[in-house]
Amino acid sequence: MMIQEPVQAAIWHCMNYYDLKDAVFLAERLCSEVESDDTIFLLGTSYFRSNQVHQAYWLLKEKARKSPQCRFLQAKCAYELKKFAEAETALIATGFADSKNFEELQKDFGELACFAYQLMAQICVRTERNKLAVSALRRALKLNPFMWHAFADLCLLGQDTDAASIFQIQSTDVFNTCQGTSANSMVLFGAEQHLQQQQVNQSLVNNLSNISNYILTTPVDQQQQQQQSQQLIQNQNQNQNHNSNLMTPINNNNNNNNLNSSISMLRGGSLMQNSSMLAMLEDTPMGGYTHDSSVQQHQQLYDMSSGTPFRKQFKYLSAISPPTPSFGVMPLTSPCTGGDGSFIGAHTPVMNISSYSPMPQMLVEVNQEPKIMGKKLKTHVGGLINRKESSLNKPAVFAQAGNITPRTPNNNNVGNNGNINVAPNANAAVRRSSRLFSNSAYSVKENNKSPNITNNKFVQPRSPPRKTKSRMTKICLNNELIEEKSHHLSEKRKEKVETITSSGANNNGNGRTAAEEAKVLLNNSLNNAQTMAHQLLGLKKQSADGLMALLRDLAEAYQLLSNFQCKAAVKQLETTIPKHHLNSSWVQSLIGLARYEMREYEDAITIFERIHKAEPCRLDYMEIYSSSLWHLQREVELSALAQDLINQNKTNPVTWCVSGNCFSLQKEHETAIKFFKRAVQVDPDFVYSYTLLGHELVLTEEFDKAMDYFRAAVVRDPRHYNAWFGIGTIYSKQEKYELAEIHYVKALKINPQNSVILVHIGAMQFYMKKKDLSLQTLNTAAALDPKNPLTRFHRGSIYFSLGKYQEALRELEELKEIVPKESVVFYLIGKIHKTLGNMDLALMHFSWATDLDPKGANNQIKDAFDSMAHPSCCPANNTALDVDLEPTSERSDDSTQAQQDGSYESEY
Amino acid sequence: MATSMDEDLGPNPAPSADDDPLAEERLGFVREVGAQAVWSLSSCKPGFGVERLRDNIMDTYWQSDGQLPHLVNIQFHKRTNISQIYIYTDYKLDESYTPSRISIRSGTNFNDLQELQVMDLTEPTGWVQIPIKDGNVKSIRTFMLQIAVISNHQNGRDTHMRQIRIHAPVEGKHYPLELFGKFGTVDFQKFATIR
Repeated sequence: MMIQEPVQAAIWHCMNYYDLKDAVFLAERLCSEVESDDTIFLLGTSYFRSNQVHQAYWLLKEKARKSPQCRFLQAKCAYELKKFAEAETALIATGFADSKNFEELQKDFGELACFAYQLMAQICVRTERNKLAVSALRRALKLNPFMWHAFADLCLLGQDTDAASIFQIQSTDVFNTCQGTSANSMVLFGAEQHLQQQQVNQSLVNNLSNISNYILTTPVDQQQQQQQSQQLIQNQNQNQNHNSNLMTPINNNNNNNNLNSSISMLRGGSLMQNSSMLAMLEDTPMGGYTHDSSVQQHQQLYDMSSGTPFRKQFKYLSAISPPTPSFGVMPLTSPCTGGDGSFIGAHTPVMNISSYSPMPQMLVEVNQEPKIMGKKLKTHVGGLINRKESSLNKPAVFAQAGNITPRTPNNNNVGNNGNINVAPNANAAVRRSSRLFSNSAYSVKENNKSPNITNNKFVQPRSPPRKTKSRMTKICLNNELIEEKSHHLSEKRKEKVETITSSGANNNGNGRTAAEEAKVLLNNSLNNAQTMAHQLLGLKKQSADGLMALLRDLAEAYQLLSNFQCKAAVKQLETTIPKHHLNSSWVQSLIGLARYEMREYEDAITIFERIHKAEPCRLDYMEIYSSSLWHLQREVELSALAQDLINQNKTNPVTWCVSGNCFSLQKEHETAIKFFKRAVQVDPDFVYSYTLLGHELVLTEEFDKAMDYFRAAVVRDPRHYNAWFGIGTIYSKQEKYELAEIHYVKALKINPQNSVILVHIGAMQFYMKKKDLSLQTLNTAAALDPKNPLTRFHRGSIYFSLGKYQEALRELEELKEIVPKESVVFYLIGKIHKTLGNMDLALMHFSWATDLDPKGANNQIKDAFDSMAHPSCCPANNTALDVDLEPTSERSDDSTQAQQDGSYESEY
Repeated sequence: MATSMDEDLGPNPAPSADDDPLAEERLGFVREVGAQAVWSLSSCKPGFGVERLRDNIMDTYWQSDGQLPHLVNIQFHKRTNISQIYIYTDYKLDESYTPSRISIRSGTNFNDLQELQVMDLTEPTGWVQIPIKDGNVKSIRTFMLQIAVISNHQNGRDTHMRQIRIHAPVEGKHYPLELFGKFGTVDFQKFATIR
C-alpha cells in the first residue's frame, strides 16, 4: 500500500515549485491507490494549476466529494468553464442561490467561506443577479477584509459602499476567517522549510546514529524508508492522538536519556518546552537537532490533515511575504513582538543556509519561547542563571555561539558537511527520511516508558502555553511581519539564547538541575503567557490595522474613481497614500486612469509612460494609455507601445486593444477591426475591446455590427459608459436624435463629470429644437470642464443659428485665443461676418481658415469663397485657392451645405 | 462627363506617382470600403484570382482567362457611398496585359447595371484614380459596382490588374456635431469623442 502522507507532501512540493507535470503524475498515482477527499482534491488541484481545468472539473464531477475544498474547486472549475449553473450547484446544495442559503454557505465552507462568497458573487454577476452578488461580496468582505477585489467588484457594480467600515478589523475574530489553514498554504510553508530540512536531516541522522537508540544510519536507503514508513503511519496515528488530546501529558516517554526525553517533548509538540529542554541538552548538537525536530513538526503538522491544533499555528507561516515596514505601526519597545520575528527568522533562507547554520537555527528554535515571554521572562532567566551577566550583551552572542560550536564539533560539523555530501538525493526522499526520524523518535518515546518524575512535572504545564500559542496564531497576521520588529527581536532572541544555552552549559552533565531551572522558567512563562497573549492580540490587530488604514484610503479613492469623481480620487490618492505606495505602478495607473477620464491626456500619457518604462511587461491599464495616445494622435509612441506589447504577450486582450488603437489611428480601420476582434477572441470578458470594436465599426459606418458590439459591452458591464456613448453616437449618425439623447444621458448618468457627453447631449437637444435647453447643457459642460473648446464652439454655433451674432462672435473670438489654429473656428467666424455683411472680415477669416486647412479637408470653406466670389470680388485670390483645392474638391454638394448652414438642420 | 475624363487622362501618369490611395486614406478624407463587399470576377487564371486583387501586394496580380470584356464585380451588402476607385496597373511589367479602356458601371444587381463612365488609360504605371460621381454629387450610393476592361494595350487579350481600392467619402456633414467640417486640430479632436 502506498503511504499517503509523504506522497502528498511530495506532490505539494512539486506543485509549490512549479513542477506541475510531476505533481499531476504523482497525484494520479496517489489517486489510483487511495481515493479519498484529500487525494481527489490534490489531483484536482494539480490539474487546475496545470491549466487542465476541464480535466479537473471532470474529475471532481465524476468523483463528487463532500469536502468543502473539493466542492469549492469544482465550483471554481465550473466557473472557469463558464458553467455557471453547475458552479452554483457545486457551491450550494439546493442548486440555486438566494439570500437564505448564504448562511449555509458559510457553515459549509468554513475557512473557505469568503472565497466561496466571492465565487458566488461572480456567478451572480454573470447571471445578472446583482443584488445577490452584492450581498455575497459584502459577506466575503466581512469574513475577510483583505479581499480587495471583492471590494473592487462592489465598486464596479456601482455600489456605494462605506470603505471605512469594510476595511476595518472590529474584532480579532476576523483573523479566523481571513487566514487560511488549508493544506495548500501549509504546504507552502512546509516547502519553504525544505532547504533547512535537507541540511538538518542528515545532521540529525548522524547525530542520532551517534547517540544510538535509533536504527537509521547515515545513507538512508529506500528500503529502510519503506519499512519505516509503515512504522510512520502507526506513529502518526499515535501522534494524532496526542495532538488532539492536548491535556494528555506525554510523560511516559521520558527515559534517562536526556536526548530522548527532549525528542519526545518535541514530538509532543510544545515548542516552548523545546527551548527549555534545550537548555539541558548541552551535549547534543542543539542547532541541527532541535531545528530538525521543529521542521518535522511543521511537516507533520500539515501532513496530518485536519484537526490538530498545530495547523493553526502554521497558518500564518504559510504566507510569509517579504517584510514590509509600512503597514503596521509597531511599537518597537513592546515586549512581546517576538513571535513574528522569530518566525520570519525560521523561514528566511538567509538564516537557514548560512554557514553558521546550527546557531541561528537553534536560536530560532529556542526563541519560540521568548516570543511569548518577552522581557520579563528574560530577566527571570537572568536571575536564575549566574553566568548571564557577561552573556547578555549583544556582541557576546556570537562569541558564545562560538563556544557552543566547538563544544559539539563532531555533531555539527559532521552534520553540516555530511548533508552536502550524503544528501544530494531528492527532496522528497530526504523529507520522508526526516519524517521517519521524527516518528521514530516519537516511537522511541512511546516505547521507553520509564516515567521520570521531573519530566512529568515538566510536562504537565505544557498545554496551557500551547493554548496561548494557538490563540496567538489566530491573531498573527502574516502580511504584517515587520522587519524592524524582527531586528529588534533578534537582539532579544539572541540574548535569550545566550542565557538559555549558558544555563545549559552551566549545568553541563547535570540534567536534573537544568530541568528544574527550565521548569521555573516555564512556570514564569506560563504566568506571562496570558498577559502576553493579550498584548500580542492587540499588537496583531494593530499591525493589521496598518494595512487596513492603507486599504481604506485606497478604497475611498477607488470608489471615487469608479464613480468617476476623478478629481477627488486623484486628490485622495495624492494626499492620503504614503509615498512609496503612491509611487507604485498600480496606484500610478489609477491616477493615470483618472487623468484619462478627466481628458487630461497629456498627464495620463506622462504617467503611463513612466509606468511602461519602469515595468515594461505590465499590461494593466495599457489600453487606457493607448487610448490616450490615440486621442492625442501620437502615432509613433502608440505604435512603439503596440510593438512592445505584441512582442510580449499575444494572449492578452490589452495587447490587441493597443494594436487596434494603433491601426485605428493610422486609419487602417479594417486592420484595427481585425485586432479588436482578436482582443474579443482572446478574452470575451474584457469589455473595453467590445467598445473599441464598436467605435471602429462606427468609423467604417457599419452601424448594425457596431451596435451589436456596443450592446455586447453593455451586457457585460452595464456601467461601461463608453459603450452607451457609442450607441448614442450611432443613433446620432442615423439622425435618431431622441434615441441618441437617451443613450447619451445613460452614459452621463454613469459618468456625470464628462463634458464630452454633455456636449453631445447639447447638440442632440439642439437638433430636437430645444435650443434653450441645449444652451443650458452646454453651459453646464463649460462649467464642468472649462478647457473643453467644443462647448464654446457649439455654443457659438447655436448663437449663430439663433441669430445672436454678437454673442456668437464673442464666443468664437475667445475660442480663437484658446485654440488659434482651428480652421473651422475661422470658417464659422467668417460665416458670421458674411451674414453681418462684413465682407472683408469674412474673406479674411475664410482665407485664414483655408491657410490652416491646406489639405482642403473641408470643401465648405472653398464653397464659402465661391459663394462670395461669385457676385463680386477677389477673383485672383479665389482662383489661386481653387487650384490648391483642385484634387479633392471637385464639386461638393454645396447647395445642401448652404441650406444646412442656414437652418442648422440637416436634411438627411 | 466624358470630357472631364479626358482632362483627367492628361495628367494621369504624373499624379499617379504621388497619388497614393493609402496616404489619402490615412489623411482621413476617404475610407476603404472594398473589404465590406463581395468580389467576383468574370474569369481568372488559376492562382491569379480575386484574392490577388485585394492582398495589398503590388507584385501579385489578377490575370483574366477568357473573352473580353473582363469584369470585376463588387457587390455591397447595403447601399454604400462611393467616391472613387483606385486601380493599380503597371505597363512596364504587364505590357499587353495592361488595360487601356475601362468602364465603370453601377446598379443594384447584375441586371440593371448602368455605365457611369469610361476611362482610357495610356501606359499607366501605378495607381490610377477613377472618380465616381453622379451629376453634381461627388459620390454615388450603390449596391454594386462593375469594373469592365474593354480593351488592353497592344490589343492584348487577357488582362492584369494588381490592386483595386474602393473609396467612400468620410462623411462629416452627416454627423451633426461636425456641421462645419471636420476639426483639424488635436485640441479639438481630442474632445470630439470618447473612447
